[in-house]
Amino acid sequence: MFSDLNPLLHSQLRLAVMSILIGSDEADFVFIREKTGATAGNLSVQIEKLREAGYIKVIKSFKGKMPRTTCKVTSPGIKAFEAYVKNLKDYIGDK
Amino acid sequence: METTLSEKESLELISTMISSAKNNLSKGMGKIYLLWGYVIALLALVNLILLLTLPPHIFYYSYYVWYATPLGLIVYFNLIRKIKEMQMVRTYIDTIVTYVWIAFSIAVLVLVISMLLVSVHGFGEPVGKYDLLNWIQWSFLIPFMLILYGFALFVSGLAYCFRPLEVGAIICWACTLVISLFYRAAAASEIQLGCLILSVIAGYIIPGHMLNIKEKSHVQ
Repeated sequence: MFSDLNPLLHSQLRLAVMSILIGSDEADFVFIREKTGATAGNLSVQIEKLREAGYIKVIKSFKGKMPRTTCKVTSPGIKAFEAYVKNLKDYIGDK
Repeated sequence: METTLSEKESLELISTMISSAKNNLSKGMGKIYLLWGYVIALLALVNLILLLTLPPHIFYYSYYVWYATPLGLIVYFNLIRKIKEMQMVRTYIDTIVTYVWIAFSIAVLVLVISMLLVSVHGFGEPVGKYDLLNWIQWSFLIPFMLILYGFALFVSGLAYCFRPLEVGAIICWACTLVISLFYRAAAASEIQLGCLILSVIAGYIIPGHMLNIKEKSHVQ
């Protein structure tokens, strides 16, 4: 019996963001944008959805006079990601 | 705009994105190694020259050069601030290695304070009575520091998969053994300072320059 894949994570950009954050302690918005190749607007929308779900923490600060946005994955985010990967493996049959 | 993926595509995306953030050496890390490398090598060299040139009854003044070490801290904190501003991603490895170096700095500070405390004359003891006991422990400072230094370098090298740091660590430990071997030699102090210079060249200066070269090619 397969569990449904988490729809919040089963989207290309949100999954890419979560994967970057899982692999790092924290990452800058610009770094995520470069790695995912997304537009700033689209990325902001998807990051906000992940933040609302409690999967990531968004930290606003300043780099000199420029505003800076940093993202960090939360414990519920890590759990959701692990469950997503497990379900994915079940679907593929790689148990 | 949302694009959903097949299960296989999802796994491939996860793998690609995770590897894009790992093993990234932060920009400017090489400069930190170079700063401490050149500061310590320069002070040790001045110390060594003074030790060889000062008259025997005031040779200990040569060690006063180490009071200049905190000057390096001013440049260090400035560099750290700039690195944090430039840092686009911080991996778990960056965080752990930073903790290792914080622990190293605290350990060295405790070591120096302990030696200063041992140097202080006991209450009621006449000054000069235990002259030898008041300074003998300082001869262990450099070897103890090199052991700790080698430890921090070795962990950093393994964490970043950066061989020059591991080699630097092994040279630090080898220098500790050399110092121990010549502990009773007439030129023991000179050998200690020579070993310290060699260790910082191997552990800080060479890896620092190599990190700078590596940084230009592929770090974030």
